[in-house]
Amino acid sequence: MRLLLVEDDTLLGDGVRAGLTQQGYAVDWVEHAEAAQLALETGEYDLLILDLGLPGMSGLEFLTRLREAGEDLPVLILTARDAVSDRITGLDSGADDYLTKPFELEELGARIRALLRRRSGRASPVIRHGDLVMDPAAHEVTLKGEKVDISPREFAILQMLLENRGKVMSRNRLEEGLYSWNAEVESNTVEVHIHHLRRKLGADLIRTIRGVGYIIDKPREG
Amino acid sequence: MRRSLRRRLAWAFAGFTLVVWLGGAATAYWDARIQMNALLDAHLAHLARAMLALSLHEVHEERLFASVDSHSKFGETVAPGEWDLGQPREDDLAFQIWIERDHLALRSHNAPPLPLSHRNRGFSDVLIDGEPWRVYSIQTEDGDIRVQLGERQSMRTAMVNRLTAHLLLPLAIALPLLFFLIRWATGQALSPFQRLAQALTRRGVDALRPLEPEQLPPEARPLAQAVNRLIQRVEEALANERRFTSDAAHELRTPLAALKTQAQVALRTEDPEQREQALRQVMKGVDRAAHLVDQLLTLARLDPERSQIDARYFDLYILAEDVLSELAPEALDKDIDLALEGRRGQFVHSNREGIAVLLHNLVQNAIRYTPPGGQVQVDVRTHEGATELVVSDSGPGIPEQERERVFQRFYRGLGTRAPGSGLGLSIVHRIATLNGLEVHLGESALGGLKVTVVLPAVRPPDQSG
Repeated sequence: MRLLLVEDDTLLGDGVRAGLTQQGYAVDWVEHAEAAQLALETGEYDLLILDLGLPGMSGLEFLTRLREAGEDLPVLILTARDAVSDRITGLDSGADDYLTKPFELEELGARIRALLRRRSGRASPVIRHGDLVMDPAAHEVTLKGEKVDISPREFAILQMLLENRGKVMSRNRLEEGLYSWNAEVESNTVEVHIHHLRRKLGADLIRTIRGVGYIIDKPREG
Repeated sequence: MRRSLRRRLAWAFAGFTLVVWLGGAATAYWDARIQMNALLDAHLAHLARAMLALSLHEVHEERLFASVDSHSKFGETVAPGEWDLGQPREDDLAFQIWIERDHLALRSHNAPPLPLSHRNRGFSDVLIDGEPWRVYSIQTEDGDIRVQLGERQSMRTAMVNRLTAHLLLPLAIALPLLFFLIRWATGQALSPFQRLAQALTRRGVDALRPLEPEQLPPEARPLAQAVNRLIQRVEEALANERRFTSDAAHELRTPLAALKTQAQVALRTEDPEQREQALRQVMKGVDRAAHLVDQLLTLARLDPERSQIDARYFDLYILAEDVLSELAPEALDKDIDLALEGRRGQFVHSNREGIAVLLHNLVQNAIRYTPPGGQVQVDVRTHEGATELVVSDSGPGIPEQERERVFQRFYRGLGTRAPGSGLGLSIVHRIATLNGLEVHLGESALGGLKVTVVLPAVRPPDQSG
């Protein structure tokens, strides 16, 4: 899962990026709205974390423009303003959720998970696929009730495939979900992670579409 | 404490009334004397004429001669009860009837045997036994019979005094009464002021509704309007304070959020390198929050009244030397060339501490926003009769459209990576406003921002200190 963080405060931006990376997200961090615009045009993101008190164009203005342009990306607002009217303005401008500074990293993570869950069209906090159960909050995967030991990156790839069941995920798309801009990407990592996942969860869960990418089929009806 | 308006008014009214009334009474007294004298004189003359007529009658019947024959040459006296002239006190009247020019035929018992007056006709004032009398003399044309009728002056005076006393007595009663009535009336008239005071006293600090001057008498309206203007100013100041407190609190949330986030990262990570990095960030965050708090305190301490009181003469160049030497290490760290241009002897009259904070903020800002290896220059110079303090740098500068906004609290320019609080220029602006200085932003010859502060120049003080 790839997130875009727009935060002008260097310490806070750095902290949020580090914290969310710990939780297995790929986080790109920009410091103002103009840079965020550029990032959205060039990359694909699953969620936008937006600080409202930005220098230059304010977060609210940026958000309004984004929504006017038809961008339906989930947006979580971070702000120091906590008056009810501020929250209402934020949500009415197109934000999906709202978090007031200072906040718990855990809560930020939980809200991000909730937003991503909604985006993928499910209400349940866990993803079930046959005998496989994935709990994004606990970062746990169980197969037939048995806990499977799985690394954060493997978890992220599995989640992306499960959230997009029935859709082919390109290698590039999966890589983008794993690495933020400044992370070194080894050329064969995705293959290595897929290999490990197959070893742990069974060879037939993830199918390879040669030259394109990977897919987990939609569960059979009934 | 000043005496109350009510008492002052009451005393003034009572005093004026007393003076006016006394003046009136004195006039009345003199007038009464004159009128009384005229009346009593007429009366005296009338009475004397009647007595002359009677005497003539008696003389024709020759009865008076008989008395002359049978009595001493001092004439017959008439006992008080035997003659009634209808006067209040018989003793106050005396008469003599002379016949054949110098023969005293008849006199009242209190009249002396000698003539009452030397005048044979008309009025005269005489002393009899040391007492002043008013005498009217009248005689027949041949001078055969003469009547002299006298009236004690003291009787007249007593009558006038009684009359005057009657005039004054009501005043003695009326004056205290008037005094209390005036007090009551002024109290009534001043009650709007009292109500105004009570209305203001009952109010809470934050009940800053304006008063309603229309409901007050015209005399109280200017006061109410002045109070309203004060209320308005206080309200503005309060709103400003509230906004400031709110802004400050919100502004502190971001560094706190950063601290918390970094601390959480440090707690969760397994990687010692990342933990150390996060903890280093925590330290940085604490420094930054502390700097923000310092700046907020500086801003809060800028008291408009102190600025005026603390104004004194000082050499701006020496001040700049002090400030720059404080900031030199910061400049050296960034390899920035920090320079001071000008010469000593640039005297200004202003708040020295305020100007020091102002210059400190300007130079610190310049150092922070100028990339390493750049230049920061401070000029102290005289220009068109004013002393100018110019801070130039080779940093990114401020675009023209943003120059107005940078003075706002917590405003931070686009793309600024410097760890500012967003308060530096607000502090500069506030100090300048409080001390009546002008601040201009422009482009410097070094390529970055140029801030010009204009202070009115003054002659150096005659004696040191």
